[in-house]
Amino acid sequence: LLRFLLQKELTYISVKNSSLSDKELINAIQKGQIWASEHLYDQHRRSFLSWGYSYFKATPNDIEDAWQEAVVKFFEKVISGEIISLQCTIRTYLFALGGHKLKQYYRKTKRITWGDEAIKMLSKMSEPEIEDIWKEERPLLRKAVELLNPRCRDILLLRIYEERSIAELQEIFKYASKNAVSVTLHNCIETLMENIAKLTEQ
Amino acid sequence: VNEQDLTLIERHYRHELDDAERQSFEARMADDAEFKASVLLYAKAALAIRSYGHEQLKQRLGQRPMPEASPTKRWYRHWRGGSVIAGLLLLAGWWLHMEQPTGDGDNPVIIDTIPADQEPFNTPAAVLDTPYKQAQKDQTAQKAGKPDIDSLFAESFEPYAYLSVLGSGNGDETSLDTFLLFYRKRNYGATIDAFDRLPDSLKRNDNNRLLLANALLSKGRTREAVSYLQAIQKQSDTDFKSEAGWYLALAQLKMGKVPDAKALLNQLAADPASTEYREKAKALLEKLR
Repeated sequence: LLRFLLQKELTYISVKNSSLSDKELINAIQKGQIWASEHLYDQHRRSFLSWGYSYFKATPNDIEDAWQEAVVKFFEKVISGEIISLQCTIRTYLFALGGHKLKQYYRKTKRITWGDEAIKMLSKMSEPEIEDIWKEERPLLRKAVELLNPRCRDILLLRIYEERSIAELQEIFKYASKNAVSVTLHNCIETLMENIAKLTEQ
Repeated sequence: VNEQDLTLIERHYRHELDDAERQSFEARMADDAEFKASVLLYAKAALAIRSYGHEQLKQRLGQRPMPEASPTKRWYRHWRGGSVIAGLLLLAGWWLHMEQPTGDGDNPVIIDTIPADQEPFNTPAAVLDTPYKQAQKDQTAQKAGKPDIDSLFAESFEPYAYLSVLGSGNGDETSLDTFLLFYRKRNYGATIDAFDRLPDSLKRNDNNRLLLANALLSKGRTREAVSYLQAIQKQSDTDFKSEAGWYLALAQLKMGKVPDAKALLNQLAADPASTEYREKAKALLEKLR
């Protein structure tokens, strides 16, 4: 994995190129390139902080947290195929996502300016508030992941979180065949399931 | 869970089952309690990984330093602040003027609103201090007929962006992970120390040498950086020729070896393979003229 990351474009990419279009950024995220989310995070961070502060009665820490959530959520939506393209700019969408998070914290805005595209989108945003039925178990689940060996954790993260294909995993981890990747994946997920079962019993 | 069931469950969660398979899957879920428990356990495992990935990415974003405001915005803010102060001064002056007796038509009373010990328009100049000083510096440099090398280096040098999903800081790092982690966290002193602890084979790796050279440049250890960058450049099969060329040019510039820096920049500017550094090299050459 190290060799792959050191040698491929994923490892060393200059994110200073601010002329990337929204489409290029979405394409990069679709390929699992995390630098694209970091680029978005940096590019609009200052604007979001002042935007959040103008519209919401929120602490700076909560606004920062909402911005991180917005960018991570956007990354996950793109990687899972939920977002292929947007009708607005990524910036507007991210602001609306972050605003949605802040609204969950504070329930009401300081003032509404209808000319603001992100606020308009936020008022229409119908993201259902999914009840976290496993909220209590989160620390246990985290521990179960931490008990995995680093290689298993990496391969599962790439397969399940970043939704990489078996072929990509074969290339990244230098497996001899796709079958070898599948066997490792099965062993790792089985170990994780066993960890969860054991920790639940304790 | 047997391998066949695990594959089936995984395909179910990846939405890869066709209609018939899905119906059969749902029927089995209803009838087979053991299978249902496995499905639930798999769902928890997948959730565990997703939550872990989510947290890791969030943590990684949270560690990023606050980007600097763009020079245009800084200038605009200063300009805006300056104009507000100037506006208030004008208003105050006008008000004082209106409040004072005006004298007779032949001998009007002239009111000086600026205290004797204060330079006129001192405030706007102070507010616009940085751009003003920079402009003065540029002007002086231009007058002297040579560009300001230190400023050019500072403008052009940005440590090489290293991004990796590894080096999460969870305590299971190898010496290479530690080296990369320190570099990513921009702790360049620790990066240099961590390089010394790498095995010799990794010390000879061009990728690692490039990062070390950047760390050395960041710490002002330019001469040492030059030797590593030259070593990378000499490799015929390196993937980092352009990067090494760019940073070597900056290092030469920093050391005042402008002709050497220009020669390297000219090579980069003429190299069609050097997509990222070609334009940067051209821009820097332009400034050096």
